[in-house]
Amino acid sequence: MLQNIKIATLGLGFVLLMAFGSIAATINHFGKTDGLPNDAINFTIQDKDDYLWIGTHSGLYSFDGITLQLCKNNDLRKANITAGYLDNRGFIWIGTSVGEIFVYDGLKFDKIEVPLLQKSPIIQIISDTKGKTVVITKNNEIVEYVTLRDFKSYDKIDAESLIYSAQMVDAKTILVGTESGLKKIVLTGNRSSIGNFNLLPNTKVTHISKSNKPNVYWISTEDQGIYEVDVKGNGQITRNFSKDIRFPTKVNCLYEDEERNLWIGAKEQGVVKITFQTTSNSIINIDYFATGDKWDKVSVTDIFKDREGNTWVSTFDDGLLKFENEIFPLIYGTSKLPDGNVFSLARDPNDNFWIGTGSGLYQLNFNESKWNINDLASRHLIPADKITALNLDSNTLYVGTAHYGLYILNTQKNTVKKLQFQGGELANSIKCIDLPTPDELWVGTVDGVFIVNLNTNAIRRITTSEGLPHNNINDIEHSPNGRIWIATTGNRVAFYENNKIGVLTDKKFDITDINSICNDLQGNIWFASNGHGLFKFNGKAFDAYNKTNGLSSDFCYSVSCDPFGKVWVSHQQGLSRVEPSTHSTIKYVGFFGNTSFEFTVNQFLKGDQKMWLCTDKGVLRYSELNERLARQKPKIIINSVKIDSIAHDPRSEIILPAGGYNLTFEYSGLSLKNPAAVRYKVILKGYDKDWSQESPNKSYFKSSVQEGEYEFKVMACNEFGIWNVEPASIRIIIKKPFWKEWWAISMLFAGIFFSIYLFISIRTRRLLADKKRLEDLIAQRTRELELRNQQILENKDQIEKDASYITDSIKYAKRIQKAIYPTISQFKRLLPDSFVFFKSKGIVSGDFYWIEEVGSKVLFAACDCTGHGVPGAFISIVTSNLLNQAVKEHGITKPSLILDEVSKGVTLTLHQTVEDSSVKDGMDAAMCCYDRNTGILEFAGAYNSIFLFRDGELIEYKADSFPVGRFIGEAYRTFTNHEIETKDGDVIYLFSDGYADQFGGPDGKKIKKTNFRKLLTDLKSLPMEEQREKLYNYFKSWQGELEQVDDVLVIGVRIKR
Amino acid sequence: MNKSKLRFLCCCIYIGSIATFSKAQPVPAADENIPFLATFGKKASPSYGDDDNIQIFFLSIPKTFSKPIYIRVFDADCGGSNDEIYGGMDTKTKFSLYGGVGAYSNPDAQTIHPKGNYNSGTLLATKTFVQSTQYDNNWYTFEPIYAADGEWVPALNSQVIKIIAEGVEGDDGNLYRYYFSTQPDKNVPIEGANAFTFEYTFRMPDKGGQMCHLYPYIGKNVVSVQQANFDWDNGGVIKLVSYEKKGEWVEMSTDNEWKTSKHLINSAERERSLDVQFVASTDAKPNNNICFYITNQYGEFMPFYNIPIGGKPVYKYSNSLDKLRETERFNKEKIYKRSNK
Repeated sequence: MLQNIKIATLGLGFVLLMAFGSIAATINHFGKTDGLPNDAINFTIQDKDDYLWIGTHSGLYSFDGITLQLCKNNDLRKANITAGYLDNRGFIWIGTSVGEIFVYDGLKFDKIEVPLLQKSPIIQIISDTKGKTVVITKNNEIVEYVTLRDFKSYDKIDAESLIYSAQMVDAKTILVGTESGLKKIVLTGNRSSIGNFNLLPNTKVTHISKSNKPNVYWISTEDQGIYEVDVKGNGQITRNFSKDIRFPTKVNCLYEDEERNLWIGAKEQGVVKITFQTTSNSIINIDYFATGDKWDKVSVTDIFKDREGNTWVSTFDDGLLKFENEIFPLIYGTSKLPDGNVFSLARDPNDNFWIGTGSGLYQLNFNESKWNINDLASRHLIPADKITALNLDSNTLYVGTAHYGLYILNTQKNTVKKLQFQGGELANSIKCIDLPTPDELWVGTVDGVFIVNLNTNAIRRITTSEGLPHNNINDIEHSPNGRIWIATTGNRVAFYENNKIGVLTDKKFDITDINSICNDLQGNIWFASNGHGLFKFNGKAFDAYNKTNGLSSDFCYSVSCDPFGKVWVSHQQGLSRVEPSTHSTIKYVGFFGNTSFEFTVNQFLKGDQKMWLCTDKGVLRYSELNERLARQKPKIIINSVKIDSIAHDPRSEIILPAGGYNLTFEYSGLSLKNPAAVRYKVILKGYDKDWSQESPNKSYFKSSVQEGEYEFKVMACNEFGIWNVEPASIRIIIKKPFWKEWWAISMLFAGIFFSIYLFISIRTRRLLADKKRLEDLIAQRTRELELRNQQILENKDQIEKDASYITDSIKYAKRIQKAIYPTISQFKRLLPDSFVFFKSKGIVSGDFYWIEEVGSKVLFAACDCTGHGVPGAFISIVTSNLLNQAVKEHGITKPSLILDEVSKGVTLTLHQTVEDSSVKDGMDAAMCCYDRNTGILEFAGAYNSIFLFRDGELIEYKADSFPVGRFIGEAYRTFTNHEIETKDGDVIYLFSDGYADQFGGPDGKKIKKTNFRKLLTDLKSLPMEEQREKLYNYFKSWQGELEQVDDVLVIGVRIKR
Repeated sequence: MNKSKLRFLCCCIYIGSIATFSKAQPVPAADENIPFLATFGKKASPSYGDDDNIQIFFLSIPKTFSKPIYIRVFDADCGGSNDEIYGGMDTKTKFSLYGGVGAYSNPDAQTIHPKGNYNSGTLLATKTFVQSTQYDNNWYTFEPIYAADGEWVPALNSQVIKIIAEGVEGDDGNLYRYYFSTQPDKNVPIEGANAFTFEYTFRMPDKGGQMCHLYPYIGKNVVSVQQANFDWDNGGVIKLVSYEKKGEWVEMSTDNEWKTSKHLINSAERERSLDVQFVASTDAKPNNNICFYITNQYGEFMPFYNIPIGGKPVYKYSNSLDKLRETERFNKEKIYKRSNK
């Protein structure tokens, strides 16, 4: 029956609370679809790298906020994981339902020895004050570990007692929850003894949780609710919620966080959170996370708070819930009220919270074992009007309404007195209330300020007539120095001092339309304006804060200062917090979970020591601790390093042999609050020049990395842009190929140098040997030459005598030759316009020119006998004689016949036979016969052609290709006779091959027939003597210092008809 | 292994294989028509109907059953409207669950007079109930256990959990029921599971003329059985019904005494269940608690299965006429006996 009443009351309470139910915190659910088994989750803990470890009935999972991974250890993949613990070295201890313990060192799990008498679930792993880890089983066996290998087991305590929870009170005392209540185990030597605490009813204690207070523990029971117990001495119950109908009686676990919120994990009733006053045990609020939402029947198994302040709730078969850390948790939600906008807030000494909304005043009190929510409008105490202002003085609450004037409420007696001001509706539209002194109440209205003397009830009024800038009063704030500041919608700030109104302006800033005023700890006055930002006045000058220098918005609706010196400003869509000492500003926009709030008034409640923020959907409360937790730098770790897809230990330096490698790094920066918002920057030192741009990528890949020393570094930042200071890093050294090693290069160079040295030395040795040999040879030859020289010297005189004799003979021969041949004058006589260029190689010549006259015919020839010098001269005499004989004796004038005749004569004269063909002497010739009467020129040649220039054109008449002279018995060949009809001006050239064969010139080459032809072409028009001179000059310049090769003969004849 | 044990083993294997097709139901089962199990405090007189203050049940679960199992106790405390109170309500009843090695296989656990190590195995959960309105006429659910927590018994092809109800203090009688469920807050049977005990201590229905049943399984090597009943106290008739037996009366005990009788089993009755019927006379006294067990010719205790193996036995000639004749014969015998007292 009693139970039913309790349930009914509970239900009614839920209904009552619906009006002020909090909007659900941001709750994330992780279940089967995320990879968790559809099974009981026993606990959640966090390791030193911020990974969560989730112990379930079907294995151990790790979680980085995004991805769940089943533990790789085979024993733990399917085990029932019953206990988990993080020791002071950062190792994770995991206990299973069959009495096994595994310790995780950050890389792998090691199974350690657990000396149990009975295979029993590990129910708790805790640490004593000396750093030893104590393992407790359900069937009450205790093992104490100094190190992983050094342990001591205690005697089994009580065969029929089961332990469900335990906490170390001190090094030798363990507080345990059993099926029959709370007990104490004392460890002495190897023995353990159990004793009752006798504090609680004889019921199963499901959980023991340490409170923030010393020696105090929260105890949850299977069916008798919750107790707070001080275990000092014999122990005492300090708080008993077992009969409090607001709280569940079947509780599985409890957790008190640093903010002294108590989280209750109920059986089939979800999660309940009690918010206590910071400085006392008063309850500010109770949140039911099971009411009205899908977690109604959730059975909670464990509650855990991570490093960032998020609360993780493990459930029996509903997965894992994450309650995101709220910097501004919603304490009282008003969205279900007719007008949920909150404009004013107060808290009286009796722990009543007074909330002024758009639809009236509400009184909330959660401290008694029932809800006390009073809607004063429904009790006809204060109208359901917009409550614009609240001001509490001891037990008197002054309530300003938007339309109905001022109400004075006695909070103890619950009586109300109404105070209306003269002046109609505007005068009774209250905007603000201040109590500068205990005797005077200042009320700001739309129509001026009303000052009420609380002793005499006299009322006086201040308006624009007295100097106010405007009658619409937004705020009144008194300073410690007695000045009363008045904020109006006018363009100046007003103040009241010494019974006079003063105004403040500033030349630099537009101090206008002030909504709110507050004092800070340094005596500065802060003005929040509507559209012009925030101003600080230090008594002499103004300073401005606005959007351009950090404020969330220039529209500031409320300003207040907390006891820590921080100035809070409410804007419509967020908050700003100014740190006056550093002039820094923090914006709070988007910090409010999934709900958007419009802020109205902020206020610091002294009793609670917290900043409270009124909004359109209820009242928030700032948690500095939660903000500090939320802004934790993310821990960054390198999860894996793969070199060409082969995993390496990411914790130690990697040294690789020479080669090119593909490097893959995977890393994660853990921020469980908002894992998706984590950003990374990476650098591979030794490869990259600078850090990468920040990105959400969790892996880094580089292909074909060659030899070198590298260091991979990665940093992470959380959603607030806070970067971790020390990046995670790993060194990788890729060795050089041996041939790039300094010693190899040195050896190579040494080898090269040695080789060169060897080569040089061998060669030098050889050269020296050759040199010696040559020197020896030279010496020998020199000796020989010296001998010869001696001989030559000895023969020299004789040779000189002989040479002189020979030279004289030759010279005499030349005279004879010269006498035989015609002279130049003779030549010219017969051919007047002609020249003969003749230059013999030696003293005597093989070339000769010949001329004879027969009647009207002039026969002339240029002849070149074989050889030159003396042999040529001899032949020339023979052939000259034959020529004379042929013409003069035989009367032959036909050139071809002449040459035939001479040819016969040469053969007969020299007796040349075919058998003796090694010597064949003869003559090359160009023979011409010019008939002065007919102008016919006949020509026959033996090897030597003639040139005929006519009208600038050159005609070459080719000679026969055989010489004058033949072997006896050789086939007889006759010369060809050419007949040419000459014209006046024709120039004819006859020549031997000596001119064209002369070596010289710039390249030491022959003149050649082509050049000779060209030369004659250039000279042909010149007078014949000039031609001869030019031919001579050209020949000399061509010859230069070289020896004359052959006899030279050129005859030129110009025909004149 | 000796022959008797081998026989028993074969019997168990057969039972176990059949049992896998069953679903654990409430204990007592609906077919048994037994309102409550009874366990008295250890100071209670045996004449109240409980010879040893301890009642042991076993729950066999298929090994493959992986979901959590909830042992639920109805009216676990002693002192409410259902219980039998003598003097003040000072009785504490402890319910304990055991699993692990030895929970079933320890011989002391399979006895009818728990002594020695009857609480063998690993204690999984326990709770001692005093008088409490919270659990009066209400269910108490133990924390979930799993099949793997039990003892693997190859003969039964099952994991076995032992449930012991023990009157640890007081002299009152705690009347209660069990349900072995897959849900913590609802009674949902466990597929493939079955509950059994070797000695039944139960309360007869208070209303006269009601019939309760127990169903021991008769293995193929059983040639005779010996029944033993305690403190029947002229509550009516106890008889054996089987395929062959229409209703064979047993020796019935009076107050605070054991009575035994031997009954032959023929071949047609083997490998079937026997129906032990407890027929209350129309003027039977209320609060009649009785203990009952049955052994085979080797003296081995035969388990009573919550769900009869092979189904409820029906006499081969059973029809309405026979039933009428049977009732007449019963009444005549009763009159005869009374007149001869």
